[in-house]
Amino acid sequence: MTDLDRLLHEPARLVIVALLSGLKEADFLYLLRESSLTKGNLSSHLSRLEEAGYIEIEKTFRGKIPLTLVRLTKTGRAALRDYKKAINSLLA
Amino acid sequence: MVTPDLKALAKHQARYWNEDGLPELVVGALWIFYAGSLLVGTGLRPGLIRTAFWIVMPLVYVVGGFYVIQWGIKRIKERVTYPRTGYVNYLTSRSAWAVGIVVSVLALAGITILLFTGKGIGTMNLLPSICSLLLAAGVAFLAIKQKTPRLLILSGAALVSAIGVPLLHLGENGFLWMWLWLGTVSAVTGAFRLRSFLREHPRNQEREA
Repeated sequence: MTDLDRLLHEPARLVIVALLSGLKEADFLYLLRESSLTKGNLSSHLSRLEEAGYIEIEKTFRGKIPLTLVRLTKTGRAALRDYKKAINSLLA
Repeated sequence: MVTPDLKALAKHQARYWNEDGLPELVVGALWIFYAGSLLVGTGLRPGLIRTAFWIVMPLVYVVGGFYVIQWGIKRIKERVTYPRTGYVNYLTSRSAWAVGIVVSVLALAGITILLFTGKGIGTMNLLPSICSLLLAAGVAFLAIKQKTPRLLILSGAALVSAIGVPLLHLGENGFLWMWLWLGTVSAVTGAFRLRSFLREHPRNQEREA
């Protein structure tokens, strides 16, 4: 268990990072629907991931509608890759 | 929350692009446009306009099929889908674009060679069936991979086209009828899916935290 990234080992955060892994970016609404988390929970997990440098958050507007864009950083992608390797070697 | 299934999440991401039926609707409209253009092209009198038409149209088909369609679907999704179920921007690999360009160039080169070597007409009459068969296989693969059974309707229609075009002896009009048939099926299934998508996801949802 020592090799596992504790931040990513939390299921909700792992879902968020996995959802972002095949995308350039997604907005808050998409992550909210796909992760089935509450708004508060999702915001809190996004903050933790942003603090760790795994994601970037950009607050912008589309017309008059506020839009929160979330992107996985290179660090985040590498962390997910390492996490998958670690979990696979543990299960092997 | 239990440990997430990362593979299932990745599949769902890919399925999200087709969830609203818009790609089928737009692609269907494009195929109907192809059929219309073939109808216009065959109706033109031999001469400069006809020659120019048949030089320009293959380029329009390629550009329309690969690039304009992607751009068009994204613009419509920005108005229809993203405000309802969320915005995503997919990673586009350079290799996918390169494959698209290579396939287009090879297809155009193949058709041109067939036409100018004199063996063209007989082989050209088989092309709608071959294209339909490839399309049927490709769409069936996509339907199974993305767990989208709706796409099997289009795959079945393509199979019907593959069998029907030679049986009905459509000859030079094979492509015209193939595009018209497949375009109509694709547009209709896409429109039905879009209608249920809009009912399931009304626009006045809360947007942000």
